[in-house]
Amino acid sequence: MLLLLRHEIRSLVRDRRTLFFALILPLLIYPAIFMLSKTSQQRQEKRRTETTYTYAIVGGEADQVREWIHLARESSQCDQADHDSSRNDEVQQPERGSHDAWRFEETATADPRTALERDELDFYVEAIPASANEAEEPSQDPEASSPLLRLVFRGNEEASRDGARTMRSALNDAREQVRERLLRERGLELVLANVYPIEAVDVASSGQAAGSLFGRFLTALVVFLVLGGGAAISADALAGEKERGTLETILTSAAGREEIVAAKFLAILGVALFITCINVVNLMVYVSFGVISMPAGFADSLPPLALGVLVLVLVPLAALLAGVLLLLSGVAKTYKEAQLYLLPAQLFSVVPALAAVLPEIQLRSAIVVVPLANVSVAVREVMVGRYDWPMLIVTVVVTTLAAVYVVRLAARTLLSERLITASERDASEIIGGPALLPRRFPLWLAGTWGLFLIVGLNLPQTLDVRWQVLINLVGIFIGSTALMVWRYRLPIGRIVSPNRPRPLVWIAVLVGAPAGLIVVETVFELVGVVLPVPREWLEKFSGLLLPEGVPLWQLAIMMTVLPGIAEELFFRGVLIYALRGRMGPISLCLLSGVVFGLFHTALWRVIPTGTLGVLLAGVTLLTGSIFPAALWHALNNSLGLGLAVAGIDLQTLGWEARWAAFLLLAFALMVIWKQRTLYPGLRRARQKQSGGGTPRRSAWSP
Amino acid sequence: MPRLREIWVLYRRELRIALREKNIVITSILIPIFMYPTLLWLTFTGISFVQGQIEQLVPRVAVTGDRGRLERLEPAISRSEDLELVDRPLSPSSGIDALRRGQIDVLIEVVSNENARWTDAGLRLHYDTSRDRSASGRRRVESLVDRLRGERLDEEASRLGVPTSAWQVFTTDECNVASGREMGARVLSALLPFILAIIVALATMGPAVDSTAGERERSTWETTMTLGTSRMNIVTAKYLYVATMATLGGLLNVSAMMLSVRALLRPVAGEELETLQFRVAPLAFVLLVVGTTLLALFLAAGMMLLAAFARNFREGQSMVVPLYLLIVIPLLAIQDPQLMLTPQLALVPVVNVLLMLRDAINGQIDVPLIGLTLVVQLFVVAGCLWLASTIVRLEDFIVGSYGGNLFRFVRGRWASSRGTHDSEAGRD
Amino acid sequence: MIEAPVVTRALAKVFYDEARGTVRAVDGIDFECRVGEVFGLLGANGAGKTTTLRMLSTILKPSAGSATIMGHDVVSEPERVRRELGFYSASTALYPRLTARETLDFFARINGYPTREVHRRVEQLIARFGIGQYANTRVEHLSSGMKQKVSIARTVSHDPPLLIFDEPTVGLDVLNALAMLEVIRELRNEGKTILFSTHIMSEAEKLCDRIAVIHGGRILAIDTLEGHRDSTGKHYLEDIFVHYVTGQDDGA
Repeated sequence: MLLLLRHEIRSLVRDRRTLFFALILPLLIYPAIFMLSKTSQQRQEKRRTETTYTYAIVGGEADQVREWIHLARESSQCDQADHDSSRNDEVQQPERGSHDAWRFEETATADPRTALERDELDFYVEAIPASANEAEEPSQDPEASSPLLRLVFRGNEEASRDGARTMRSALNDAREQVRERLLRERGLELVLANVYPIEAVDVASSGQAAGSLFGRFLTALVVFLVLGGGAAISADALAGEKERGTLETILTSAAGREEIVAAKFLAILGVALFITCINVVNLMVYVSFGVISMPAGFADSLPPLALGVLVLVLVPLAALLAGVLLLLSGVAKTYKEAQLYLLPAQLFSVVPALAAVLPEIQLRSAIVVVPLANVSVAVREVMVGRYDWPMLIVTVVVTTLAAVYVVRLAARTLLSERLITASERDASEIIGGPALLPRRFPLWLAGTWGLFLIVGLNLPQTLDVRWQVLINLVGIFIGSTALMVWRYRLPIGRIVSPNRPRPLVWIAVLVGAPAGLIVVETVFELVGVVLPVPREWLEKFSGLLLPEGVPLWQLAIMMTVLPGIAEELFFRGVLIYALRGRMGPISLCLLSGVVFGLFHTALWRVIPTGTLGVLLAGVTLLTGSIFPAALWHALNNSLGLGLAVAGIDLQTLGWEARWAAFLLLAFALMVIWKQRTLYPGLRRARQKQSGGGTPRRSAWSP
Repeated sequence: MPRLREIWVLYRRELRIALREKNIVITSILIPIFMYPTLLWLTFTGISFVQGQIEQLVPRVAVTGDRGRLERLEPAISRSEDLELVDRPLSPSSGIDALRRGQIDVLIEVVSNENARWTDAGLRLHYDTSRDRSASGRRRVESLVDRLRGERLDEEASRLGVPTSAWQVFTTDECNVASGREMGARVLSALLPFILAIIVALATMGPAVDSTAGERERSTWETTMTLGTSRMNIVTAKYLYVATMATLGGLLNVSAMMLSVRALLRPVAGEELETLQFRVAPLAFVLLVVGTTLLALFLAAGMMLLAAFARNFREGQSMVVPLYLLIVIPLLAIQDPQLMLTPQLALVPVVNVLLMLRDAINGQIDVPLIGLTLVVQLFVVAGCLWLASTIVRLEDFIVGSYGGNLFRFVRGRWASSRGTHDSEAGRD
Repeated sequence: MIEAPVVTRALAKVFYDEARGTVRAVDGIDFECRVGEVFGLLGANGAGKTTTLRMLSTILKPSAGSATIMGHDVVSEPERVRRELGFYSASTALYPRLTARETLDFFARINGYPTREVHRRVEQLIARFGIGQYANTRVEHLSSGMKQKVSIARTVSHDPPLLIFDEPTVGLDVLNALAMLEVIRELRNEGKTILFSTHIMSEAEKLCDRIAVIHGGRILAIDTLEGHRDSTGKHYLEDIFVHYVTGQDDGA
């Protein structure tokens, strides 16, 4: 194996160009980028502190306003003198800093509005006398009886907005001065800034503060660097060798497949770590030269112990990612294909790596068993100086196990004959028609999803709900199904209902749907324990469910009958038909569920909706027809609608009822299982093991 | 005109091939269209999820120290919905311990305050920035105290007989006179040129490499070279095709952006968003198309020039990447919102086009400068094309006998020109 | 008499190579092809066959000497030359992502076949080479035998009077190689002039009207097979070839 590893490394080092572009170039280009962005920032900063804003005063009480502004000017200069007297200084620091010197200049103008448009003014102060103000909004408000100073500016001009905002805060300071004077006149000697002064003390050290900030993003950065660094060699490792035909050469040598994969894995890991280290060192060099400025305390957040623990946690993570890269390379047939998979892989791994951004998330929770997310949370905890040793060990173990599992999967790809010989041609490509669909379906799915998102985001909010539903269900789901049927000449009857379900199934569906609704609701609440959903979202959602001004019968059709048909046709009909030969029944159910969940476009609805999707896919597979699932779906939605109309909240349900529902659902599924007419053309091998259906269901079957 | 017809035939073939290549379709068409919706879905749900979670957290606040000095504080905390009062007697030091252990989130220590004669309560807030709940608790407590202070002062003033209107002095107010359209244009002008340049570069990369290095890899390069048409026609057709794909990518990207920018900004902009209008004036739109095309023409020429030396797709890619990275530099230059298109800047290629686009979206259209920009950029493109056509005429390049190495190519060219002279001299 | 389809005069090509310095790949070649004959260039690997044929098909520019194809000079009128010939070699691949039909259509058009008749010509080629079944399949999905048929069809797509085959049977199995030679013979019978290079003696023996033996960038002899036999006194082409080559090396 060492020999193989040496071979890998040698062929990499000989590829001088790859080295050049992966290592040298970033080293050369990044400094230029950092320098430029820094000078650009400095220039902006300098300009902000040096600009003198021109303004005008209009309105009846111009002189009064001028006096206040004068007062503001004095107070700003006086502030400079005794800086430490300001209250909660941290918050106001930047603003005070910015009117260190008075940078306003008054000009006279006849028509301020035009002058503002013409850029002759940065802003103007319009004084509206108290009486006029009162006429506008006649209330007993104390604000109503005093004049209103309106700062008029143009929001699309930076100088205008900054000037107006700075002036406003200066004026507010001036008001404090006036008030102090008023109190003094009545014999109360008081500095207003000293009333209830707040002194904020941070018990976190500066290191912990910086660690909390950086710890959130460090894992994502590492994921990004490792995936980027390992990409060049990983795409070549299996996919490139397949393309060149050298994989066959090495497979026919005496080395075992595990050894080959292990050597390649180590090579990827080594290179990825090497490039990551170089990049990190590179960054550190810039930090130490001051090209990039880091907030204070960054160095304190990484004592030697933390550094050591970070390495211990991050190396298994890098191993996991290297395994993922190798797996992608093994699945791809060509170098280019392997490269294509990289972007989605990056996106999908960065999301869990950002788990630490979630507020108050702790390693001592379910997150510890989620690969990537656990490292993310662990890194942040370590960086704020919290060492939860048992959980850290669990994190390392989980990540290592995941890495081993992924590498084994990658080794399995070498056993798959379809993938080894890259030159093999698929008969489906020549024949075309339905045989091509399984290959193209993922693309169709992605396209439909993108369309769904774009349409959803751009439909005007005011558009009648009926239209929205029609466009989504009929336009997108039925439309894309129809397009696929037309493009690949698919047999419609075969998609909709290859089998005829037995009569008892229908009764089981009638029982199962209400039970399913309660079970899904329970799942939703269980998820809510881990990831709580803001209340207002739920209210907004039920508002969507019950729009005003639509007759109930129309609502019933749109919310129950149409989804039953359209969504089942797409998510169960075409999806299962297209992928039945490529996946086992269990993965098919799960996939259908996940896709179904994703199409409901809200993160918090993915899991509950996905559960329903899995149930429906299971029913479809067992009965070999989408009709029972369509009935189930329609029933589910109409029950939900009915409950919403009646104002019943399922959350109030007791645990007994939930258990009953769960048993009832299991019973219904069991009946369907007994009466099964399995979907034709499923992958055989898997079918024997599991009998199809959801994993949970098989646990309940006798 | 037979020449044009031939270019058209070649061009059609290139396009047809491109639309069947997964790589190109994805980088030139799918990414520009779908990047925003996907990003937006991710950020929108992500950010609002995190925000929702932070808002749901109710920080636990404990009060310690000289509690009697500020009697109103504790009732105010227990009244407030977003703070929870921990009703447990704590000494300052045990309170800090509890805070460190995460049992409470903010510890308010009431201390005496010698500075003020009227009221002698001061507050010391202990919090822990490394915990979100504590950090947000600090902000909430501060605004609560601010409110208390205002109420207290108001009462004091009315007790002393200060008239309400005099005490109020004045009220300040802000009024933004920029229209929603102007504000929208500003947002758009900050985002659009930036992303446009990246997308155009990305969309150019695939086709540029595929139509040059890719042909070598598939060994169709020789086939193309024996076609019954001039080399210039072949290069022109290829160039037009790459530029078309790049422009297409850019324009698709612009339209996708216009469609989804509103939703993209929702989590960032908040309320203000409702007033924004993202519309571009017809003239600016024309300039947008022209600018995108110019960028595409430039990048297509540059990338093809580099990729043409590679022997296979992979090499071509790595040769083009530097140019792709270099695009970042002008992008950094235009980050500065105050940088305007000046005659000097109009002479700098790429930067001038990007600045022109930005100003145009903002509604500032300076005809002479735009003219200058267009002329300069066209000159640069023409220069690149001239260079490309010179290189294509070289025969080593056609045969590819320099091993895909640019330096070796240049060295070989130089040496061989000397070499042939020598041999000819010898023969004479 | 009409001018010969291919005429070369002292055609030479000099390469510069870092490792080997100046290399004379082709060192002054003179020959003429006659209308309707199969002219064979027979030589070992590296003899200069491919370089010669590449110069004739205008991929390379000659360093010295001249060559004309159907009366057009290869340097001054490269486009005319390319329209008059069909070039086939192992390294001129097909565009993988075009279908067979699109390939033929493209080559006919770009090589100047009259636009109105392109369609008919393509159908005719499809029928002639038996491509019909997979005419609408992309080339990348075809087997190597199918690809070969399409490749020959594209070589003759614009019906050129001269066809150049550079080692056409390299990498083909016996049956496909035989089919290839059969096609070349048919094309000759249709009146095409064919310039053909190979290092396989039996092919040259079977197919060529006249054979030029090329070695070290020079033509050692040009004659019919019978003529070679007479002048060397050997019967098998293999022996004839060895005779010329060793004789030359001895002389040098």
